[in-house]
Amino acid sequence: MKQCKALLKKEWQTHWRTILTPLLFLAVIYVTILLSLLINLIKHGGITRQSFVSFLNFGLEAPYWISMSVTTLLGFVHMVSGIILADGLINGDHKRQCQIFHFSQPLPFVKIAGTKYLFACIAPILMLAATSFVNVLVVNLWIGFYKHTYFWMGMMGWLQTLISVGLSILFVSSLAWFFAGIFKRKSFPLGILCLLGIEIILQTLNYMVGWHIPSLMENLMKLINMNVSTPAIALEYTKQSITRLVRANWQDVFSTVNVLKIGLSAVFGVLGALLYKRRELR
Amino acid sequence: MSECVYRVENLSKHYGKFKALDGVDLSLGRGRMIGLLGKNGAGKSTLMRCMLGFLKHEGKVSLDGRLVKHLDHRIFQDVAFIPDVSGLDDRLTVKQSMDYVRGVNPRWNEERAQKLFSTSNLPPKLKVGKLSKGMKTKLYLLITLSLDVSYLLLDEPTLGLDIAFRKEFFNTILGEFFDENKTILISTHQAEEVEGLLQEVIFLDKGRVILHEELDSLKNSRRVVMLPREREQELLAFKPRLVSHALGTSSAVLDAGIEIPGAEYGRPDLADIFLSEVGGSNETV
Repeated sequence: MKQCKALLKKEWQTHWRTILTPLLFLAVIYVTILLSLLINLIKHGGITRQSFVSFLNFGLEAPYWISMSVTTLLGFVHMVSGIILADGLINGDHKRQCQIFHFSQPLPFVKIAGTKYLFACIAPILMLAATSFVNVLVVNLWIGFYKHTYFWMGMMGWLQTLISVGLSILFVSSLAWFFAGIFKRKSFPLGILCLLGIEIILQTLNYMVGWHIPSLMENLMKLINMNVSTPAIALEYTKQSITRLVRANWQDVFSTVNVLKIGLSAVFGVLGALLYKRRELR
Repeated sequence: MSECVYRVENLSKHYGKFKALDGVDLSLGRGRMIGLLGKNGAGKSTLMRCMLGFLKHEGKVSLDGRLVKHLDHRIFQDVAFIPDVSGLDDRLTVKQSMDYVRGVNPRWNEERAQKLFSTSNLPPKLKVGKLSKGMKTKLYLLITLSLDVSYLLLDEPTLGLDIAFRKEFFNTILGEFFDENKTILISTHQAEEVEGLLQEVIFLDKGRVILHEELDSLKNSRRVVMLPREREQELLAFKPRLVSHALGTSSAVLDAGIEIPGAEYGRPDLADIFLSEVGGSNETV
């Protein structure tokens, strides 16, 4: 336990920049909003209610889809940080020539790889949970103040999207982990190039021989897809129809695709670790 | 020879077509200070990395009778290693590096660490990447020497260090670490600095062990024979691998039993013996 704690601490100390980079993105959004507020203030001599909410013609469902959109947008940024993190965790020590230092400790490989994999998958998801929660909370309180919408719906939308997007991040981080196990440099682009190469071969075979091999990239995109079904905007929703919508989306969250994401993530996690273990320390 | 603890049998290592190690056989005893000498590219670093399970290889390596496999963490319960290139994590600070090893290595000796670090001038809050090359090496040495292990493998440990710390390291720090239960295998180019410490020497050339002997008996079995330059042919008759020239004299390291009338004799140092066995110029030692 002491070793795992020290390993996790070390991974944080060496990769905190990558994990916190999405906050910069968030800061840019905040600065943009503040600037537009300022412009509004100068132009109209005050911040009007119309400036923010009314012009969007929100319905009761607004908190739901806004929470989903905010979480999905942040999810995308954290997914990118997850890709960079996975590569950094496997190849960072090699690039900095400090692999021997880390492997000269009496640490079982399972602990080293396990901690790294856990960190690659969990850190972006935790960061997403924290940043999206704060933002969704603020946005929902704000909208609720003006429009008297259902606050619980917003939080439900956040939770559903968090689970769904979190699983997509888990899958993509695991894929990036697997590619990082194969390639020591530029692992993710090279991995995607390989997949594209395989896709071209498959499609050529399908065309020439008349096979019907399913598209690799299409299936991959299905697994990366972060969306939970979103409701149509500006329809007249009632409390009952919104409740039905939320319930229906829970079924999407616990769909077979999401179970597949977990299964494939585990497979990629193990494969990446095995490839990592095969390396020699020169 | 004391009880054998580290055994290397028929060890070979290829990098593509290049044979870095060629059938190396070695037995290292307990409580020994052993020097590993070889020219650049002789295979010293490769041998150490194979002994630690960092490289895949042919042949067998065992420690205390237990086979050392590729990336076998158990070996580091009793072995510490310093590579030739400073390999600390430059993203960590000095203190974080220490805390990390303290956390993951149960062999960390807090008392010794405090003692070693109290006399060093390493700034704890500075990132390792910001330290000078010498400071990095110093930090690596101090961290490694804070571990209670029985075997210490040092690959060019003082590379980049100033003379003062090199002297302190070899004369004091390493001496404090070493006792009759510990084995130190040290690979270095500064033969003269470790000569007084070593009990055994291993000469490695082109991936092969060409000599493994007690240093004292090695020195007793050879001597430097000096003759005036015009009598050099008499030296060459014994086919030495290297003849040195200085101030009108020619000298070579020959077997102690060889007598040449009118010759002067001297006790060879480690560098002389190394050159006489491996050949080449002084700068390769």
